[in-house]
Amino acid sequence: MERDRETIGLTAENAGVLAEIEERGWFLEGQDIARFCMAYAIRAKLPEGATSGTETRWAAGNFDKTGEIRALLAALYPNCQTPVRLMEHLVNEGLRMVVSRVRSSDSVGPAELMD
Amino acid sequence: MLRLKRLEVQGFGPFADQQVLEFPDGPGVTVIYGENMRGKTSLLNAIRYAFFGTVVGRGSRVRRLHTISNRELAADRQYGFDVSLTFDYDGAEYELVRECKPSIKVPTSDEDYTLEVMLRKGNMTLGPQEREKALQQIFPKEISRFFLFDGELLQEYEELLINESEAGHRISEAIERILGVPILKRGRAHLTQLSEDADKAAAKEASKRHETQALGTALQQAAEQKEAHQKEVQRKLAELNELTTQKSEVEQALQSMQKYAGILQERDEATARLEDAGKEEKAARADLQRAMGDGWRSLLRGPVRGARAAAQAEAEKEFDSLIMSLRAKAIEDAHCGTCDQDVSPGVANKLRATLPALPTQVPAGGVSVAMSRLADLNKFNEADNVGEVKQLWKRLEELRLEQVTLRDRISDLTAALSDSDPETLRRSKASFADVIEKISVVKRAIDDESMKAEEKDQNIQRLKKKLEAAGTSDLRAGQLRAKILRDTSEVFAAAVDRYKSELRGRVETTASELFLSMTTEKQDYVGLMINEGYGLTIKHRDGRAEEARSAGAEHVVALALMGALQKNAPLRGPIVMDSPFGRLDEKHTANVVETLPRMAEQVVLLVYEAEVGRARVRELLGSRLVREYELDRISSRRTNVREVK
Repeated sequence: MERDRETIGLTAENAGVLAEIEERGWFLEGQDIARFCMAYAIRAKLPEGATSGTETRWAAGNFDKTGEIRALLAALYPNCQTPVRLMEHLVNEGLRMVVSRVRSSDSVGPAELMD
Repeated sequence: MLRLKRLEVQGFGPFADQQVLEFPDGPGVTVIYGENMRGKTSLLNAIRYAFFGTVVGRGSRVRRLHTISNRELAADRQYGFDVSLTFDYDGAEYELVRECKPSIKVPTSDEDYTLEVMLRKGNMTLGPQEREKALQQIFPKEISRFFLFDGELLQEYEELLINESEAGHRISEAIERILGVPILKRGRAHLTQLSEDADKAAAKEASKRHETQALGTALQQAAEQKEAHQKEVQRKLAELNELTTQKSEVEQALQSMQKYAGILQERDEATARLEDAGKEEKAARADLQRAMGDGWRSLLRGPVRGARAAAQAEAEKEFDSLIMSLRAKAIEDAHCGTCDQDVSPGVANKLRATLPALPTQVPAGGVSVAMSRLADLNKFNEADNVGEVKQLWKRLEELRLEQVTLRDRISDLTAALSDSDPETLRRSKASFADVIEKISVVKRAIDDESMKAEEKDQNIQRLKKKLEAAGTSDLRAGQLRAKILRDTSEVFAAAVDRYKSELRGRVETTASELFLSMTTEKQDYVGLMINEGYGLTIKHRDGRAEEARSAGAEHVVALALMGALQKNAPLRGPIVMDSPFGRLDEKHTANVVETLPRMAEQVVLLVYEAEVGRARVRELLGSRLVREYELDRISSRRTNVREVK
């Protein structure tokens, strides 16, 4: 069985995306952006997967202090055996999806992302 | 008589290169055409600068010399300017040169310049004292308003019709000055002083004699006391005069900056609002960031609810299947394992009827997957702050837009204020209130001291009568001398009043002639009526004064007064007027142009062609048009003067 990871990382490209979103001042810190993007990807029914070539950004324990995310992924992705890898994948894919939406128009703000 | 001959400017306003204007001999009008921004007002200012060393901007505000340097040259770090004016006065030729040179490489204020003046009379250069004396005699600054003016200055003459108007009083004084009244007033004051000295001498003489000693001493004391009160009145009057000048200056500054005051206030308010909007934006952004920290929960609220409902349905289905399997087993065993009771055949039949047709799949033992999923999903803390985020984002957008609008507005307002000094305005407002208070105190003191002097004077008159009755013949000689001087002073005072009255009559007559020449309402108006302060009212043919008059009529009346003063003043000179037709319609403008040669022997008219066309000027003035110049645009910062042939 594949071993899960203990940290969540970003690809180099997504590290830039995170900085780009951070600069807009909608979020207090990077983790808030990452969680938001992860949720954005889940809501978009992104299938299970894994992202390679990432560089560590956060400890999984810190990223999901209450264990809610892990439980949620267990419920929504019942076949997943590596929830942290999935978390990482969802964060990275979510970042791509969010930035693509934000870049599409000047009128897209945080409120529009939540619609 | 003063007559301009030649004006040379270099580096002054838009005149980067040396420009020369020659004013022909003989009576007539020289017209200088120039569109806006070409330098018409700069030429008027160049003449003003030559005579007085000052340059005036809008609202008669003195402009900083540092701002006068040509901007194109200044961009190349060449600062400073010079003006040379050649003129004739009383048969002699004068050349007046003023140079404003930078004393440092890159000057930033007037202090960074040195000013040099040279006045040549014939072949002789005058020394500094002689120069100032000569200039004061040739062209006193106090009367320059009647020779060098623009449309804005003409508006001020309406003040003459307002009693108790400070500005009106100031202009009246200037008018009396150009008409030569102050010399006569000084003569009267001198005679009054002589009569008082004679009174004192008579009292002193009386105090030396035994029989009149007491009366003489009392009279001397009373005279000394009266003199002390009068001196105090004079001192206070001088103080009042100074304060009134201060008040006028401040008033003028405030008036000239009145429009700036509104702009400044708006800018201050906009700046304060911008600061508040910045703070509000910061707070709203912090709220948004806090709300977005839970944003992921809001995003997942829908999917989790859906998953929870699905898990719930699955778990219920599993539960139903379990119940059915337990029933089937109870029927089969005729015993219920759950409640540990036997099942009778009747009950078994009833239970069998509730079972589905197909056999039920019994769930596997252990924790149900659906229940486990439901438990996981229930760990999720739901949040819904979409509404809050939308509201905060909307507020942030509004604040951002408001700040952009405010910044633009502040930038526009700052540009509009670029020619003003907000700090001066603020100080002016404060000092205005202060000066008003001081004036009120000084006026009370003057009234008080004047009353005391009056009381002493009454006492003196009583004592004089007693002394006259008790005095000897040689004493009476002194008293008689004092009386003759006093009577002469009164005669002189009456003569001054009469002279002023006749002068006003002459000004009224000349102004009426000029007014009737310029007005378009010749049928209805018969002339102008002058008041004590030289204010002019239009007289209708029905004998009544025209109470309400238009801005244009006001302008024509002011021009008539200008011409009348020129005609009746001991000092004659050129009239240089800058764009004076702003408030006049075409017909009035034509009438004024036609009348110009009658207003003064030498007239220089600075005008833009929209006010009056070149062909029309030529048609109206005919041979009285002695020369025409054109201000040619080289660039926005450079103008050349060209004679129109």
